[in-house]
Parts: sequence; C-alpha cells; structure tokens
Amino acid sequence: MDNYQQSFADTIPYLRRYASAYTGDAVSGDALVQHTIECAHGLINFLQDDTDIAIWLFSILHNIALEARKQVDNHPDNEVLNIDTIDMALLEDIDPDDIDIVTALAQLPAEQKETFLLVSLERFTYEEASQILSVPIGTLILRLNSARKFLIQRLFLDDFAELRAVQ
Amino acid sequence: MILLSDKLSTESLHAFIDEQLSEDQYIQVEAQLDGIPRKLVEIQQCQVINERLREVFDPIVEEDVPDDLYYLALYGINGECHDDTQDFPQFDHAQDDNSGASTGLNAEIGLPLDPFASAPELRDENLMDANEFAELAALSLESEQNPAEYASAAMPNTISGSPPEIPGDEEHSAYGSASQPLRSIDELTTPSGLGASELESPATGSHGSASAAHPTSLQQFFVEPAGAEHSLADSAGAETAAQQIETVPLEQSDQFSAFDELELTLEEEPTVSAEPVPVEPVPAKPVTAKQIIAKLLAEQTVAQKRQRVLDAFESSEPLALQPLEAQQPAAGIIRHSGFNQPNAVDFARVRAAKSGPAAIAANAQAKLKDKAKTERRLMKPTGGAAGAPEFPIDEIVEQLDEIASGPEPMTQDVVAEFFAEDRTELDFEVSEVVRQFEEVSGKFNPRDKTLFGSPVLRIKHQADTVLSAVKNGIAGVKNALAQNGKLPFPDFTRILAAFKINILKSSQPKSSAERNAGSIPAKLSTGVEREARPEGLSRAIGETLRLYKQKLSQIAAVAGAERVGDAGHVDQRIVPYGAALSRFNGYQQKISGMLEKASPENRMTIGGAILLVVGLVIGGSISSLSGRPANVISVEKVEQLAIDAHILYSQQSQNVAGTPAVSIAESMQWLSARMGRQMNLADAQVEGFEHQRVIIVPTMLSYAITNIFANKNQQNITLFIAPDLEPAVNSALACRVPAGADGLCTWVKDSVRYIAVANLSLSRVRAFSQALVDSL
Repeated sequence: MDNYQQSFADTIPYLRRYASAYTGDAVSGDALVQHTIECAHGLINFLQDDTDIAIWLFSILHNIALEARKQVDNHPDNEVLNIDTIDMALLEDIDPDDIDIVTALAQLPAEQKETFLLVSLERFTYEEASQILSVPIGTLILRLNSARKFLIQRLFLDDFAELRAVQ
Repeated sequence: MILLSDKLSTESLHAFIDEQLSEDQYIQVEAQLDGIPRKLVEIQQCQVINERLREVFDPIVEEDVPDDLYYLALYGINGECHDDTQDFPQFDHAQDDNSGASTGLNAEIGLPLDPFASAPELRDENLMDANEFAELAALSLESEQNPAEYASAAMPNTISGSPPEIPGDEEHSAYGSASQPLRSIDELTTPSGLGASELESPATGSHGSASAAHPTSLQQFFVEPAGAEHSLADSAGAETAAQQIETVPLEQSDQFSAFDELELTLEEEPTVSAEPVPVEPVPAKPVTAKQIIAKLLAEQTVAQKRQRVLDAFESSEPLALQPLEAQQPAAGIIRHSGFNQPNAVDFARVRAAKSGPAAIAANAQAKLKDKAKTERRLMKPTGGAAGAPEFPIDEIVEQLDEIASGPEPMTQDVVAEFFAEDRTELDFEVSEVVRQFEEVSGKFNPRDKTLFGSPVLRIKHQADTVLSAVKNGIAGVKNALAQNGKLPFPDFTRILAAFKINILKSSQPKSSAERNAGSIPAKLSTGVEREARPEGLSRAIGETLRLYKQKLSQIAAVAGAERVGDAGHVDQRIVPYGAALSRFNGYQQKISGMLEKASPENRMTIGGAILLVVGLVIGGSISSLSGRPANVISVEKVEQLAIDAHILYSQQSQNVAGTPAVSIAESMQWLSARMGRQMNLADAQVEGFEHQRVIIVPTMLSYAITNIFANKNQQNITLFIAPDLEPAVNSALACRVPAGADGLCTWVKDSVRYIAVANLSLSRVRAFSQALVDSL
C-alpha cells in the first residue's frame, strides 16, 4: 500500500485520543500509540490495499493493550494496580471538573472501556468496533450496555455524583 | 445494520444513542421510547456521558502531534533505529556502500594506517568501542590492498558488510530520466547544486561541509594524484564556504539520525536563498540525504579521517555521545515524553527537508537555531518535567554533584557510610516504628505462602518475628523490674564490656567486673565476632551490627552515667538490649542463610532491606534506651525524605516502566525500555554507565534503595529507585501515582543532564506527605 505512512500520521491524533482515554493519562497513551505505530510498520506487509488503515491501527492498539492486560493479570501484584478515586484526585494534570468521568472510566473493566470508547468517543460503527476488538456484535453490545450502566451509576446515582452535583 | 423488532431491544437502544440507525429506524425507536420514560432518562444520561467524554478528550485531536510520533509514523523504524553506540559517524556505515564504485577511489585510501592498526590502546582505554575499533581495523586492513581492487570489490563489503543502500549510477540515470533535468552527482554536491544551503551532515563534519562547498567536483577531486593532500583549508572556495556553511564538528553533530533518512526531493535548480522556500515534493526518484552524505563522505581521504579521529581523541570529549536532549528525534528510538520533546524548529527542519532542496536553507537556519538553543539549554538549568516548575532542582543537583567519581564503593563502605552518620537523633519515633511493624506483621498470614513470593517479603516476615520476640523480651524485663523494685539497675558498662570481650576474647581475658555481669552477658555471645564468615553482604551485616553495637555502647554509657546517682530507681525505659542483640544475631544467621539462597542479582536489594530492618529495630532500641525524644514525623520531614532521595513510592509496587525494580537486572529492563534497545548490565557498563553508588534511604515504614548510574558518555546521571515491595508497608507512604504516569524527571545543570526515575513535583510530594501525616 502506497503512502500508508501519511495515513498513519493522519490517524495518530485519534489514536492518541483513544489511548489517552483508555490509559487515563496522555503520557501512557502516547507510549501506547508509539508502540502501535512501531508494530504497524513492522506488520506493514500484512496490510492489504482494501484495509481501512484506521481500523487496522486501532486493532493493533487493542491487541497491544490486550497483551499488556494479560501480563498485568498474571502479575502477582495485580491487586494493587487498582486505582481508587483518591489516587486520581491527587493527579495534578486532570481538570477537577473532569475527575469524575476520568475516574469512572478508570474503574471500568478494560473490555467495557475499550468498547465504550470506540463507540462513544471514536464513533466507530458497531461493525467496525467489533472488527477492531475481534468480538461479535452481540458481545460488543453487551459490553457497551454494561459500561453505560456502570457509568450512569457512577456519575449520576452514587455519592460521588451527588458530590459533583453540589459542586 | 441494526435490525429492529417491535420490542425495544438493547441493541436498538444503544444504536439509538450512538446514532447508528437509519432515519426510519430512528423514528421507529423514538416511537417505541415514548412509552418507556425510564429508558428516555437512561438515554439522556448516556448522551450526557458521551458529550462529556468528548468534551474531555476531543481537545487531544486538536493538539499537535508529538514530533517523535510524527516521525515514527512517516519514517517507521526499519533501518532508522539509530543506535548511537553502534554508529560512528566518522566512519558511517552508509558511506562505504557505493562510494567506492560510484565516485571513484581516492588513492590516499591506500595509504597504510599503521598508527591505528597497531594501536590497541585506543580500545583498551575505551576511547573507541569494539565496533569502532573493528571498523578502523578494517580500514587499515583494506589500505594494504590494491586500491583498484579495493575500489571495485572490497570496499562495499568489508566495511559495513551490508548490501548497498544507495542507488548507484544506474539509479542516478533513472533519476535523470524523471521529470527533473538530468543532474550528476557532482552537481548535487557543488555549491551551485546546493546553493547556500547548509547541507551540513554529521557524517561529513567540517571537512565534509567544506568539501561540499568546494567548487571542485567529486570526480575531479578523486582523480587527483595519490598522496596529494587535499588541503581544503587552503582553498579560497573552502574559506568562502566556511563562512556560509555551518561547520559542525563531527562528534558534535546530532542531526544525523533523523536527517540521514529524509528524502530530499530535488525538483528544480536550487537557488541561493537564505529563506526557506516551500517546494512541492516530488515523489518520483528521490535522492536521499544518505546518498548525498555518502557522496560527501567519499571525498574524505583516509588521512583526513585519521586526522579527524586523532583530533577527536585529543579533544576533551572526543567520542562522547551527545546528551539525550541534544539528539534529534530518531525514528525507532523510544523517546520518553519526559525528555524534552523536539521543538518546533526540529519539526520545521524535517518539513523543510521534505519540501525540496531549496528548503534546505531552512534546514540550515533551523540547525543554527537548534544548536544555539541546545547550547542555551546545556548552559542553563531548566525545569524538570512539565508541570513541575517548582521542583527544587538546584538542591537536588547539589546533592548529586556530591557523588564521588571513581571506583564503585564496596558494599561494606556503603553500609558503613550510611550507618556511620550520627543518628543519635533518630528520624523516627520508636513507638511509631513498633506500631507500624506490628501493623505489618499483623497483615502477614504465615499460612498464606503467596505473600512470600519474594525473598524480601520473607525476610520482612522474619524481621517481624524478631521484633515480636524483642517486644516480648522488653515486656518481660519490664514486668520483672516492676515486680522487683529492688532489682539493681543493670550496669551497661559492664554488660557492654562483656560484649567487647566476647568479640576479642581470644586476646583479652575477662575482667572481674565482666565476670560479675550476671546472666545477660552470656546472651551476648553472638556471631558478629565470627571473623571467618564469608565476605559479602553477610559480612556487611555483621559490620553493621558491630557499628550499631558500638553506638549502643556509647549511648548505654551515657545512660548508665545518668543513672549513677539515681540508684534504686527503676527506669521503665530500659531496653533489654542484650536479649535484643542475641535475637538479632540469630536473625543475622537466618539472613545469612537466606542470602546464600538468593540470586546474586537480588542480594544487594535483600541486603539493603535487611540492613534497614535491622537498623530500624536496633535504632528503636537505642532511642528507647537513651530516652531522648525522637523526632516527630512531620510533613516537612516526609517531604524532605522524598525529595532527597527522589523516591517514587509507587503503590503499584512497580516502577513506572511496569517492571518491579527489585534488582539491577530489572533496572536494566527499565533502562532498555527507556533507551529503546536491549541492554544488560554489561552493556550499560560498556556504554559508559557506571554504577556509582548505592544509597539506602531510610523511611518511616520502609526503605528505598537508590542505585545511581552515571553515564559519562552522555553525561547523564540516572537514578534507579527500588521501591518497597510490600504494598501493605508502602501504602501509608505511597505516592499515589497511577499506573503509567510519567516517572521520568530530567533536568540540566552545568551541562550535565540528570535523569531520575521519580517525577514528583513538590506539590505532589506535599500532598502525599500531608496525607501521610494525617493518616498517622
């Protein structure tokens, strides 16, 4: 495929947005994107002419994140990887107004989070998102449903939501 | 395509929210929703969430893409992964490929290079690495061959061993058949071909730049008689060119990695212009910068190369790699965002390089600006990471400047230095330490073996056991004293004298006082005096214990003196240090046994943990014994501890690279991730990383081991922090840095770039310090 590099460059802003939302901070997000681009260059021979490069890159990013999750899941200290709201509140680079949604995203299970972000943030169609995540659409809808229920509970119904409403 | 049914399904509901329905389907779902107000509320909430999500993260799309990502996307990593330790710009790999065949060979290359061929001291003195030396040797070897043979066959294969990457004459011909007029390689390298643009290449250096501007074509140049020294400095043309062209010394050039692969499309006759002129890139038949650089390199005679190497050796920093910040973003190198990002000038340079030869002038200006900026950065301390402008750089650097150069100190020295400091005023309150250790030990479940996955945890468990025994001993003595108020006050001097005699029992007889010391001295026969113990950490622990016992004796003497006139009074603060020491000695033996089983990589960490645990416990005894008020934990103290040690207390028990920094080997993994290439300790040492020292940093609850590596080549100081492994211990002091947060902190002072793992802004340190104190 000719000129795929420019397509890579054009997709980077969206990859960064997704990765930043997925990881919870811009630095980790950029690292993930960098890894994605590196892998994409290495896999360029597998890229077919009719492949949507954006979907391809997002699927690579998803696979990298999935691999990282597996490593974390297998880590004996995975318990301590949970981030509570206090941790996030100490972050300086998060707008206080955004802490609730950022922390809520951070608490979403990864599968639900990536589904939700692909659909809601990146506005991929369900078919495209299922292609990226390599899951059937039914599974994708289920994850999306779970994610939205969680976020509604987190942002509108629990104590945290009330606190925000007071603010 | 979403298929709708009469009943509102979850799928159609979400498709409605996500606007993935057709117009008809949208109307249909809307009608269905009219009868379900609860779903309407949910939909509204979901839409609000979507809007807020986009509100938070959409600005990222509008941001400028970091240059390193941009370069990576455009140029990839294949063939561009610039290993600055492998490349030796003076003998750049690219220059040899086709230079011999396409440009002809200067007969001077046939000159012998005896001084270099017989100069192993260059390698021995680490003035050249193995690759460079091999390359130099190859040049020398080649020089003994027939120049014609060398030109025709040997040179393309012997220097780099890689297939030619630069198009040969045929490709140049093909290039000429494109839309551009036919241009010879001579035109490309003459001033008229380049104009006033600065096609200064790191691989060419000053000579290369001068020769690039020399009116003599390459062909003319190479057909000169053998042995003729081509003194470019004497050339008026070269002098003129030297005024026009920035002549960056080879070893200071830093643009090669990013510049060499840029495709410079020469579309039209370049004009002499100081201003960048945007030219539409022509994709067909590009001539890469590497080609041009190779041609320029081909001008260099072996004598010139040799002279430049000699000059480099004679200079103060001959072959030093540049500081990281001075390096241009090389595609393929993992650039952590904690480093200074390539600035807009870099970006403009690459853009200009893409635009065409006329825009190379922009390159020249960008390089000049960049060089000036780099110099300013090197001369002036800058803030660390973004967002932490208040980070007390100067104070930290002052501490780092105190790092002594020279051989790596022995473990015993490190330990001795640490414990030799005056610690009569402890950094912690004993009762607090005891309480915290109790908390820790309470969380241990001996049946749960998963808790003891690491040797350090096992040792800590042992420490808790010992501490528990010590506390029991303390309670027993207190009870005994309380029950018998007439019990004489222990004579510390006599007890400690007995202890000393135990150490020196082979040379000194016991005194009567010592013989009258009672039963306690008998318990002081420890393993510390075993001089035959194996060297290493076990020995260091013994030395440490010895130091502490000496301190104990000093304080005990003071305490005993204070009690002289106070006979009959029972002091409840008495510590049965004799019993405690005997416990510690048993503890030491256990530790020694465990250390024997530990891997060599872990011994340092484990040893550090042991030393600190022992120090805490003994220190607690000392404080209790002396009766002095221990320092109260304060925000300032915590803050200062964190700043002093640059400690990143990661609640995740991992460092920011995701690797538990429990050993040097794993620190090397961290370093590999940062450097963008696999490194091990040996490599790090070869590349100039020297393990300077180990700092064992006591904290209230735990410890931190800071391994300091100094990279002299890159003038970096890299600190590796080994955080505590036990989350339960560390949680109270945890700097709650989320996973993936930037933990890299860099700053510059006096042209030295410092890199620390931790990246704690002062405000963040204060925040968690305050949280800690509040929790206590």
